[in-house]
Order: sequence, then structure tokens, then C-alpha cells
Amino acid sequence: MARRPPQPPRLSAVESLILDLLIANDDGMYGLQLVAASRRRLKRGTIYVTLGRMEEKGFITSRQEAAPAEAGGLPRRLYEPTALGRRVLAAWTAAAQHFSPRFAQ
Amino acid sequence: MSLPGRRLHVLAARVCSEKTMKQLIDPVLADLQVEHASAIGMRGRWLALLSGYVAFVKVMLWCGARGTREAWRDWTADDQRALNRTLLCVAGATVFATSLFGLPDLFHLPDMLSINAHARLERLLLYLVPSAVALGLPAGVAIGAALGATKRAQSRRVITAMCFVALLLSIASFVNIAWVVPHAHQSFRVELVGRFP
Repeated sequence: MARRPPQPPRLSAVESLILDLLIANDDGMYGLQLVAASRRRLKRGTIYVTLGRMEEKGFITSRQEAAPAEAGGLPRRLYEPTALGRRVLAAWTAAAQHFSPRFAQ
Repeated sequence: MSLPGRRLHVLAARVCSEKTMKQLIDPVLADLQVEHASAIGMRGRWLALLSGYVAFVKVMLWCGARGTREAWRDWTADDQRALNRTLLCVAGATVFATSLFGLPDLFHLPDMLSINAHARLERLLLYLVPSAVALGLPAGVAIGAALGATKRAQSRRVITAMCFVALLLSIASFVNIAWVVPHAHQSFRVELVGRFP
């Protein structure tokens, strides 16, 4: 039986937007900053679900901030793109441009 | 004064895994605290709290859905079969009871149509469904649950799941009776005799 070729990593529109924003900001971003920078395209209630999924796929990495702003407060998480995330975004952008009808003419 | 979200954090820690807390709950509640601390004025603080709590509820709903899916995978094949069978019985009994309670209205429809020949039959039938469901749903759930449990003793898991389904159906029934039925009745009257100026 023929072996199925390995599946390439998939990138949804929201994941692509998040990677775009993270790559544009070298210092990493918090979830709320991503929501604010996306001009309402990302929602507060769902962004951490997407970020968690992207972290599991290896597209981004996260770390807790050193000390919370307020005493007794919960530490925030800072998100950064991984090398894999950068490569996948570049590949998807190139593929989208290649197959877009605008570019095909 | 304690920071907002501390109690929610303790509550969520009881039901969510460590990974879920780290990935989802902690960041959402941290955002809530940061926004609340940086908000200006009482109105700003209330808005920050409101949007933070809405985000928390959304995340908890997502966690609940994922938890249910994972819990379903852990169920034994016997339990899955028992629940499917009970749900099928409930659905079948509800459809049967709803049809039964809707029949008397169907017999009167020809007389009603003589009032207004332009009234559309399919619309009149549609407007009668909510009131028939209001009667058929409780009867269907009770009969279906009893029929589903006849074959063998149900496990605690199946009973808990059925209680949850019954609770959801009760809420749906309440919504139907409180909002859908009155609108459907009014639409039925308007379709049959028209709107008076």
C-alpha cells in the first residue's frame, strides 16, 4: 500500500494574523496587546485558545513575565514566534500569493 | 481589597487541569487584573471587569466543551451505547408526543382556513409547532428516559449525563414557553385573520 506523504503544517487566517503581529514586534507581545493591535479581528475570549493551539503546534513559544504589575496579581504570558512559525508563515504567504487569482494573471 | 479574579482563579483551579490553567485561565485573569488596574474612573473599571468576565466565561465554556469531548472518549462502550439509546428514546418519544398533542389542532385547521382562504397552510402548521412542543417535550423526556432505562441498570455516569440533558431541555422548554409560544400564537392569529389597523 502506498504511504501517504507527510502533511504540511496548516495555518488558519487567525494564526497567520497572530504570527504576522508577533513577527512585526520583536520583543514579544501579551494577549491583550495582540487583541488591541489586530483592530478587533482577534477576540479576547478566544485568543488564548488559539495561542495555546499554536504553542502545541510549535509556531510560537511563551513565557511568564518576571513579576506581576500588582502585588498578588497573576503573572501575564509573553508570546514570541518560533523559527518554525516564521518559516510556516513565509511559506503560506508565498503559497497564497502564488495561487491567488490576482497574481496568476 | 483583593484583586479581581482571585476567587475565579481558585474556583477554576478546582475544575481545570494545570495545563489549562497555565495556557488559558491565568492569562485571561491576568489581563482582567491589568486592565482593571490601568482603567481610569469608575466606569472604566466596570467596563474592564465586564469584558474580563465575559472573556473568562468564554474560555470556561470552551474548556467545558473540550472536557466533555475528552470525557466522552473515556466512557466505556456500554455506557456510550446506553446513553445513545436513551437519547434516541427521548427524541423518538418527544416527536411522538408532540405529534399527538398537535393532532387536535390539525383537525380544526380546515374550519380555520374557511375564515381566510388566503392564509397559508404551511405557515399555520409551523406556528402550531411551539405550543405542541411545550406539551410534548416534558412527556417525551419522561417516557423516553423510562424506556431507555428498561434494558439494564444505568451507571452513575449515564444518569448524570441524562440529568444534565434534562436540565438543558428544561431551559429550552422555558425559553419556548416564555418567548417562542406567545410570538407563534400572535403570528398564527395574524396569518389567519390579518392585522387590524
